[in-house]
Amino acid sequence: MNYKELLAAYEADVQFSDVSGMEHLDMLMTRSEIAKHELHLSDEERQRLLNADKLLREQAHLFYQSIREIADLASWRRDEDVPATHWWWYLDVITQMQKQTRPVDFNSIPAGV
Amino acid sequence: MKKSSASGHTPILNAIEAVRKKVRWKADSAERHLQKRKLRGHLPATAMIEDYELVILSVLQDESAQVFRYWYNRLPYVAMAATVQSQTWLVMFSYEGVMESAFVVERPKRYLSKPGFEQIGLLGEVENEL
Repeated sequence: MNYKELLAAYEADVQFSDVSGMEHLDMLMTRSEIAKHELHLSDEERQRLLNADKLLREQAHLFYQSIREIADLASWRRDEDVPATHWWWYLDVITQMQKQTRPVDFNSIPAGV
Repeated sequence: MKKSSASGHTPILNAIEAVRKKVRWKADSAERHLQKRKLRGHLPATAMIEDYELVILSVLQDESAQVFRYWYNRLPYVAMAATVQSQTWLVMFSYEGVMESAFVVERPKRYLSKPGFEQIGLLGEVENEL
C-alpha cells in the first residue's frame, strides 16, 4: 500500500473500536507505516491524520479493551521494537492515564462525604 | 512463531469443520465486521453477510491455506491465512467454531510471526495427516 492508501485504511479502522482486537493490532502497524511517510503528507492529508489520531486517542480505552480480550499489547509492542514516539502502541498506558485524569463526578459522591 | 508437531490437530480440524458447517459470530458482531470490510474496500459496498461468509468459507476450503494455532490467556484459536483475489485474508475462530475475525491482513508475514501464533502447516497437509 502507498501512503495514501495507508491513510485511507487508518481512517476507516479508527471508526471500528468494536471489532476484534486482532484487527486493531493490524491498524497499529498501519499507523506505524504512515509515520514513515509523514514528511510526504500534504496539509490536507496531515489534517486527516490528525482527525483519525484524535478519534483513536479519544476511544483508546475501547480499542484497548478489544485488544486485551485477544492479545497482549505489551508483547506485540516489544516484538515490534516500538519507539516511545509511536504513542498509538501505548493504548494501555493512555487508557490508564485517562482514568487517572478523569474529572471527579461530584454527583456520584454520597451526600455528607 | 513456533512450528507445531503433527499430534493434537484433531481439535483444530473439528473447529474448521464446525465453521464450514455454519459461520457463527459473537452476538451482534457480524454486521460491524461486514461494515468495516466494505469501508476498507475489501468487499463491494453492496456485499451482504453471505458474500463475506463466502470469502471465509473459501479460505477454509483452500488446501494451500496456512493453518496456525493462536494462544492467548491459555485459550486456543485457529487462524488460517489464504490468498483471495490477490489479498491475504486471515480467518480466526475459537475451538468452538465462533468467529473472532476475518479480515485482510496487510503484512501477513510480519503479523503471523507475532507472539501467540504457532504454525501448524498447510490445510491440505494437516487434513491428510489424520
